[in-house]
Amino acid sequence: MTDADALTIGWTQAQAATRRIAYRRLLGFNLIVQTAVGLIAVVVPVWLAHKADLPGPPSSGWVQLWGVMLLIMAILYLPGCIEPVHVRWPNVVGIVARFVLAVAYVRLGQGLRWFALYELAFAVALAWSYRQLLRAELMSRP
Amino acid sequence: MSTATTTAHSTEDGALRWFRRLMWAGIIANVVVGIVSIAYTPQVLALAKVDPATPLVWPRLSAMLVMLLAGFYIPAAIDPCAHRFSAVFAVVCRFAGTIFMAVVGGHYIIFGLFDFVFGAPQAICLYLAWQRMKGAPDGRASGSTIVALLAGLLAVGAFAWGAFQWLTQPVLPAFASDEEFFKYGSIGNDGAGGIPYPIWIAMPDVCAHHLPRPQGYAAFGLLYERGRNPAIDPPIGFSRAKVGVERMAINCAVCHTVRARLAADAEPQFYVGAAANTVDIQGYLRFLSRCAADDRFTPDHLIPAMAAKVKLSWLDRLTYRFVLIPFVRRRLLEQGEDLAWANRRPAWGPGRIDPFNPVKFGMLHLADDETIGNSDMQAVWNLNSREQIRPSAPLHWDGLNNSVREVVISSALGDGAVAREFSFPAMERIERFLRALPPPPSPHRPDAAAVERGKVLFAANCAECHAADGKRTLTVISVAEVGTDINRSHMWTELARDAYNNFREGRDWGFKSFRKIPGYVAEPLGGLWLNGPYLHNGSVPTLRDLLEPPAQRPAAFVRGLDVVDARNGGFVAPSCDPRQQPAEGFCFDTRLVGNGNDGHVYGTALSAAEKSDLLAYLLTF
Repeated sequence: MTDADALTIGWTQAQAATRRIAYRRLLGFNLIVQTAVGLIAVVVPVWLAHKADLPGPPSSGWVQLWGVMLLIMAILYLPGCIEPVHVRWPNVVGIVARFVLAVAYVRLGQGLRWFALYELAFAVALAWSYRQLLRAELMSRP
Repeated sequence: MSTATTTAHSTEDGALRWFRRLMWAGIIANVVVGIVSIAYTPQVLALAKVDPATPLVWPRLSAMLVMLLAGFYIPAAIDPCAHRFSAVFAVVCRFAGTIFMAVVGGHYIIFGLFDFVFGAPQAICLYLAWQRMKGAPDGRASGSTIVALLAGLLAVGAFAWGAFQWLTQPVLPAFASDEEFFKYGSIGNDGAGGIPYPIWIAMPDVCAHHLPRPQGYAAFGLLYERGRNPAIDPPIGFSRAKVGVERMAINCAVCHTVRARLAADAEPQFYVGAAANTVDIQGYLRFLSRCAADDRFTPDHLIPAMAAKVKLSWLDRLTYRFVLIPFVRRRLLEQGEDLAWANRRPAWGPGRIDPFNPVKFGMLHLADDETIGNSDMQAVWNLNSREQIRPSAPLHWDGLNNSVREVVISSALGDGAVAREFSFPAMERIERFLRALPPPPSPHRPDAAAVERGKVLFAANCAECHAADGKRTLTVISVAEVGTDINRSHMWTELARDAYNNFREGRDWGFKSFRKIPGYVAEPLGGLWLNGPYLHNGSVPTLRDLLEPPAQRPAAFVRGLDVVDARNGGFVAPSCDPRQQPAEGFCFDTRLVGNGNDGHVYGTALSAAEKSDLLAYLLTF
């Protein structure tokens, strides 16, 4: 291996590490927000339904159910957040799930359209960031 | 390779293999349940007995999330060794769902049971696989198996508990209007105090000889709205809810809805929130226990009578024959024994009740103190305007509490509501309804000039205690001053006050506003035309009689008739002989203890003409 090759590999590995950090930060922020929304839905469902103008009014049980499933989804996402390169499945499923949720929230209407916008924005951002990460990781391995 | 090693490997493979199978089963179940729930949402909701969802997109969103979650389980199902985090998190999440649903409670526990069915065996298999993979020495394997077996038994027990909770949670019908909810909604006593519906509707047929008149439950003055079939439909004041089986239980409206006819041949009208005038609660309760004690209260008599009115499957028949009928019989007999103390006191009669002695001797477990709390049922409308007249206005005849919230809740407890079924939203709905419920305006149209003269007399003789701006309106007037029968006031003791304020039993909340003030509340006049008979114990039949000195008031009169007396105020109440009960109604004897018609002599010294004028004014309320 020449010095130039070593420099190039070092640079691509650094690039991959940077992409990994960026992706993990983005996903980490997203999961924190998702956890916060889930907790609010579980603890104060009526308040959330009122403040977020959720369709209905639904009974508090359904809002809590929604909240707990957001929390469970965040937990199941964790392996993918910890090891995004080696544990790819949760990341892929998670990104697809965000697109699906965005469509569902749009169909639900009212205040959930803001959630749809949020999910869609993060689905696109995570998909782009994850693609960049995987490409960088691939390029770092001669 | 030794035999032991071969066995260990095959066990390891077996546990992992079963874990993977269970993971796939869970994934498939999630997807199937998700698809079915989206396609047949109302049917799935009915099957799961969960809250009705409006709009249906909420359960559909949940169903979709269940399917999306299944996607996260796939790595663990493919290779749990390579995806250990995913495998552990998948199991953890199943348990998180289970625990959360158990905490939320109600029928949502069915979702927790769904997760538990997969999560518990997955956890056990994962544990066994983990133990084997650790390469535990010989002998440890049996320890793992024992742990797994114990965990399995625990899981079966937990599942059985959850299933029991789900099966016995009340399924309550929804009511669009607050008034319908007040009349037919549940107050949280269906499971603890409700009688299975088929038995309840069969009892008047099987025990017809215990009815005062051959009119079914209408013989006790229970109210059936037009279009309702008394043979099978619930009367006003009864909820029909499913707690395991459909049950009938009383609610607030049984004592707080009146039937009134403006003339003998007029169509009956129902006024919600008014004091029930015809309902004989004691007669109804005695009928239940007498019927239960009757030789005819057997499956052989009851089941044919039930089957004539409702469809019973063979399983229903078996359940009723061997479980429910014997159980209900025992409970009704116990209820009769619990209320035996009332047999040593004057009968309540229609429109009257001893509301607090059952609470004292039953719920609060206080000793029988020989007190008599028989009193007229009370109107419960206009609670907001009471508080406008006087903040924290006293409630109940003797003002034993001044918190509307506490009175609503404690009344539900008195009617048999239990912590397990108790619903604060239901109580808040009743409170909201009663706060805003106005009394119906008087239909009487007395002579206008007489009314004007009566208004002046009212201001001079009555307004201080009964006008909206009276300085003593909605205050407790001492018994010594008002002079009315003292028994109701004596019934509520300091001991009872303290016991109720300290009463918890299964709850993390309690009361703090029960108090003891000897006397009776000076009530405002709203809805006066429907409040007869008058005074706290309903001992004076009409307003005209109330303006007479006690010695000239009727000593015995018929209660429980529903024809409004446009001339005298109140309801038509002819004199009677207590030794001979009338064909309709109940002969009320004011000479019995607790029934005294003494006191409240205000206006009795007026001239006959002045009394007529004052009465004319009172008839306008």
